[in-house]
Amino acid sequence: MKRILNGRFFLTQMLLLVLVGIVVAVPNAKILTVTYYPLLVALGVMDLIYLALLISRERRGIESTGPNDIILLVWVLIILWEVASTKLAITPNVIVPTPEEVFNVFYTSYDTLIKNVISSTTLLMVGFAGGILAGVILGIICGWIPRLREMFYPIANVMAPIPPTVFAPYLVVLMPSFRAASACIILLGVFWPQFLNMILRVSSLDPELLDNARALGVKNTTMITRIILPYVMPGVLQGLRVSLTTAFLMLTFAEMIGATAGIGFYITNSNIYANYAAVIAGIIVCGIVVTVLSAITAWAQRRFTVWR
Amino acid sequence: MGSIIIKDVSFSYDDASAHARTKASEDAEHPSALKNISLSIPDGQFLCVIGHSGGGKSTLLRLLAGLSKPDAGEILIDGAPVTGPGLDRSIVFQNYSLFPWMRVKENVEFGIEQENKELDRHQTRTDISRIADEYLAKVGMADARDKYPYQLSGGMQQRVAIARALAMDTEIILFDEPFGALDIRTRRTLQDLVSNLWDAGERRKTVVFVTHDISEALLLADRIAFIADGEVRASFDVELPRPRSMEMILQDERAIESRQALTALFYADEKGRAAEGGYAALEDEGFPVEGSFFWEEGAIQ
Repeated sequence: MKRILNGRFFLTQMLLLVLVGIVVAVPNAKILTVTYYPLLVALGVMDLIYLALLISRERRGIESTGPNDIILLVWVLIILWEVASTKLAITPNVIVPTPEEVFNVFYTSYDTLIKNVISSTTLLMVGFAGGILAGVILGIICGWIPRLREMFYPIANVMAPIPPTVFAPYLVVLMPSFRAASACIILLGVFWPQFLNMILRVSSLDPELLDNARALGVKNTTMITRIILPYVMPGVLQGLRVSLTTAFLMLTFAEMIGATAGIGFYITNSNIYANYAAVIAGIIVCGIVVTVLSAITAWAQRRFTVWR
Repeated sequence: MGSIIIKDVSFSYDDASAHARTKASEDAEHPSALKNISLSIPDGQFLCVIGHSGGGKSTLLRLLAGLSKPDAGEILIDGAPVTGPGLDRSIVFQNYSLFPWMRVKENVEFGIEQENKELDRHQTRTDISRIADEYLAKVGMADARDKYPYQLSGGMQQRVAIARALAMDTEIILFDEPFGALDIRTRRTLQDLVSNLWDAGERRKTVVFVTHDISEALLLADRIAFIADGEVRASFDVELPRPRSMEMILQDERAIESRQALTALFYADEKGRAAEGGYAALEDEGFPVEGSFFWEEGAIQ
């Protein structure tokens, strides 16, 4: 606890107090139609996350200036934003919303936001799970059988680097619904790199390890479930982290083109109505979703690769 | 139960088996082929196969394990030809003896499970767990049962690999330079462990132990076969009394004599390679080089 309560920690808390003081006590130059309570709640949540980070690092014995410096930067930026927009009103009135307005969006339309996030993530999960499963299963088969490997490895090498977004316009026409097209784009985007990765990993399986398994009479299903799968798992999980976030970004991009639901749609739609506070709120939500997704995959990675 | 007959076995690597070659000749530049090898290993014998790197000793072990198939000739175990890996044999490799994603005990249990599957033997989880614990205790690794291989030293990993091979309770155990990557102290301890465990069972198992360490061979073997360039150059019985110790191998007169004879064999082989005329040049120096030769009974005593 002693190491947490240092000078830098007090500096961050002082700065937060200053920020709160400015928000609450300094008179506004801009006339606001919203209250500042959602902003204060958001600041509180941020500070709690920061504290939780500090404590968990202290527990694990990691010494790091990261959380302190990040939160300092965040407070400074919000103070600048608050002062420039709400207090002095020197920023363009409509284009730059105030912090109060942005965080008020979370309060007034949290149901819409949640609905859109759920819509996006289900679509993401369908495309993603399909792409990963197909990539892993087919990749293991093609990596394992030399003839298939020689056939599909060059094909995968051509297909993997093509950005799946180039298929988007055609897939939208081809598929029965926009959701199906989106899922398909994600699936393609996740499948090829995963497939390629699996072929490489399985075919580079250490011959000594393989001999060891064969000498124990390991065959077919046992070979796959007890030897090959555990062997490739770390690679899958490592790729998962990157591909999950890219898949989400691909999805929001796709939603911006022609969807009627999803967080990407929410952002574009708000943009059309010049509701820039909602646009920024939507972007923040994207950030939160990506962070949560990568935290989950990082956890899975730690959980399933304890043996290395 | 556990006798091995190797009849006129030849083997050469072709490109299709380049995959397998990486192992058998990892420290040699040329793949090691075998030429007309014949050996007979009676049940319960401890045979050490020694020779230079790339001489074909590891290749022979791969054939015995069923990981490769001979081009000509056949290997019979209790009269039945070897067609592939079988669970009448267990192996301890030099590297990667354990699966890194399984805990120590899981590795041992996995071996027992595989054995049971093959033999259609039905043992409960508790039985398997008990057997695994028992053998881990025998090799002194009971405390490490929940660790992953990466948390163990090389010597400890080999202990676990030995425990797995023993727990599988096969008639034959094959060792492929199991202590080749260990430091000398660890090697000594593990040599004693193998020697004692082999001696201590109710019934001695048939062991084929590949090594390039002459002292190790003298310490462990009932019989030593020297392989070079894919041929059995010499094969003789080690008639030192058991239990043996490394002091004895290093100090006993008979042992010293045997070691000198073996060293001469190694040296002769090197010379033979160096000489353009091959082994013909050695005949002048009194080395019997026609095919394989055997020590006279009692010559090493």
